[in-house]
Amino acid sequence: MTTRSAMTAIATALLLTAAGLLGACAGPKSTALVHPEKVQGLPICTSCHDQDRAATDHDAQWMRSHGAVAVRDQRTCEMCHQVSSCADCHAGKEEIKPSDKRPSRFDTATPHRGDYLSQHRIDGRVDPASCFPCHGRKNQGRCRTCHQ
Amino acid sequence: MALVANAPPAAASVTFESRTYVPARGTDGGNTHVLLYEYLALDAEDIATPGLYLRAGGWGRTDLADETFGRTTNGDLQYAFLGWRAPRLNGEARVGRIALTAGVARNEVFDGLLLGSDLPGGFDITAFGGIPVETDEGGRSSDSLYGARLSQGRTGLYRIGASYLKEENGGNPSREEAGTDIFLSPLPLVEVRGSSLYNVIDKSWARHDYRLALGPFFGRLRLSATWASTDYLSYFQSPVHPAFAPEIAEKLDRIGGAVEIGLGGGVTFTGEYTAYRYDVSGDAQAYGAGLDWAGAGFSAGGAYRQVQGDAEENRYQAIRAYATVVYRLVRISASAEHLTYDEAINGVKNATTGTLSLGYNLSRTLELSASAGYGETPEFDHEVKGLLAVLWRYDASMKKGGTK
Repeated sequence: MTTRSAMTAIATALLLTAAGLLGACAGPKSTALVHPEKVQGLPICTSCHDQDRAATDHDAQWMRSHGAVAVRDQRTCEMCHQVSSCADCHAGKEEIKPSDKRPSRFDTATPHRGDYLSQHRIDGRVDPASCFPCHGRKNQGRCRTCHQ
Repeated sequence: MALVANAPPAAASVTFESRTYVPARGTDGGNTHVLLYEYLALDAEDIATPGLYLRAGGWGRTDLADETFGRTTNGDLQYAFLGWRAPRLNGEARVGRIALTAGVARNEVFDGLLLGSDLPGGFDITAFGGIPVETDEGGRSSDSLYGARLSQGRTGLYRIGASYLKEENGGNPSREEAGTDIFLSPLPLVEVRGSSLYNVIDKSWARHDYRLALGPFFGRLRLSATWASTDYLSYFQSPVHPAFAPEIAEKLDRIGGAVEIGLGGGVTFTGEYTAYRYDVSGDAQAYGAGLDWAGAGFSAGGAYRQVQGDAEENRYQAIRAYATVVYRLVRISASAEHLTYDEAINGVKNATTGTLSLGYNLSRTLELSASAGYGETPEFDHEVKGLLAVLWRYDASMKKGGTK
């Protein structure tokens, strides 16, 4: 795809978006910015919602599967979470491990617990693609102390 | 250490959070590091007019003893944008420093503009453009990032998305990606979700990642199967992290399955198996199981995981156990991990670490915690770590029931 055709596609997308914003006067109501009920811990959404919300159940696999949900619409996440909840792990220059920021949440499958300094060599060789979303394109000055 | 916030008079809902962390770490023969981190986050909804909101977050760090990571101070403005949500069609506009995940855009941080809206016929669209933040090491002149995602679907049944992203660094294309993503739930308790990523510069598929989820059956059984295929040369394009420069034309197919069973009484069993199939390297596999028990005021659990790579250097076994007890305003948590590496690292095959954490809710908005950890690992004969944390939150939205 050439830059020109890409720009055309983007311009078309912006026009469609602008048309959508203009049509926002007539369409169905927007979803709430904030979840109307207080939610604590790791919620199982289907305990209140219909089965079509099963994808957002914060079950044992949630730490690994939540990315596929966020791809569709991160605004769903923002109904209950501050943007900082995402940035805590996914921002560009983080120096504190996610598990260290939640010292009491040993029940969550937060990555990099224990001796991850040694373990990451093996996990990185076995499946480097699993590391890439958080560490691939970030300014990881900490990594450069070893990875020159 | 906690800051004091006053809600702007015009704001209908304001959340302000201050998190102060003081980690300390000492090793045999090494420096003792003591650092001070301050994380701030602000959410203000419906400011001045309904639907207008402001969100910002970032952190700063200064070293109290010895230099860390080559510099005594550091910080990051993670996001800071003004947004507006239309009353209908989920029309939305954001301007500022934006963190975005949408289609092939994954955790992109840029200074620019985002527009999004639902469209007729079950379509919705998100378009964005600006200057990327994460690749600013060579200066930001002539850097750009733009893209869009268009999707169509029906709530609860399916949604199919197509997306595009292009990033230029110094005026030169550094990344150009297109992709599709899908959500499909043809039957109750059956769901397929996944995405494919196409490297436009290399003209090849970089990654497919799909997940089939079944359940919950009887409210207590969930099954899942995953398949991810990664072409290293196409997927690791323009990495900033030096470890991701692929040296060989490797391709990995990862196939896995997991089961979660609620056994009653707050006890949950989880099991997983993953097979790794490579084009060049020898195959690998990983499997594990865990048991978690949660009740009123306590949780406890343990897990085992084994990774069997093609060579001894790629094999380890890990065991973990934890427990947390909450009594009134006090929380006590403990965790221990033990790893055994098949091939010694720095002449050591075992790693044992443990953490003890004590938390105290001083009020509904203020929490204090202190953690101490000790480890004997291949990297350090003796490592002592400590962490003090002060978490403070002004949350006006709690008054109306919401949470953040």
